Amino acid sequence: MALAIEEPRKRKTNAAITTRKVVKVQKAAAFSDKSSIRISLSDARKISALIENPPKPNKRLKEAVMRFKGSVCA
Amino acid sequence: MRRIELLTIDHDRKGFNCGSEPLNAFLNQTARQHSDRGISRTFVLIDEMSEKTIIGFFTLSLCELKSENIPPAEARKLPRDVSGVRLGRLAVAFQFQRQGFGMELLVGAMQKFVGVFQAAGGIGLFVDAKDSHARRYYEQFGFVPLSSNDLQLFLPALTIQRTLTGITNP
Repeated sequence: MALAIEEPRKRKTNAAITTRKVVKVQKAAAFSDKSSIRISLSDARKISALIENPPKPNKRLKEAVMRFKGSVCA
Repeated sequence: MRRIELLTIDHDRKGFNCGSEPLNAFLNQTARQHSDRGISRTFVLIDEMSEKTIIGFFTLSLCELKSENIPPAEARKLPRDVSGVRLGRLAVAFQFQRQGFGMELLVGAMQKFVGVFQAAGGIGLFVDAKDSHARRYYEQFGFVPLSSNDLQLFLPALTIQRTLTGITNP
């Protein structure tokens, strides 16, 4: 009579679980959380000009604010 | 009616899927820790009829702008180290995408920025777009890409403040 031999179940080792957690944390950190933004001289000039002469809100932004006012509690 | 509130343990983070694994993982594993430690704050958009379901979220943090090569004459206009607020992440759950909720989150982020601006200053809101598609999305609302990194965009504080006049600040 032939005996059915079961393959050993694959068990997740602690090392495999740790590796998965590390990969998840790395993915979560993929977006920058740096607290400083380094900018070039041309960007500094651009930002400075925008601060001195802030553009008026455009039509799309005004529409977004109107929608917000109508549907989101402040 | 919908509401924007700080992410808490009561929100269904595991049920959130925006289609981007790094953003899902951030919301699930990192956002609350960062909030507790003061690294950043994550806010969620919820519907009052289903308060645990996260429609979308955004994350804000303080940032410092460093520009080392500014000539002294120009440094009077923009000092070498100035502060702003960074919108690092913004995402909408897959089932709620393409319904305008991203706009609500963006205005919500601006509203939070105004609160910071009124209390402590800040030159404006910086946005990290994840790709060129996202960059074009922010450009629609007037954000200006930086020339050294066009996935980083900026909108000055006064533009935001003028835009939000009339909305109660947090």
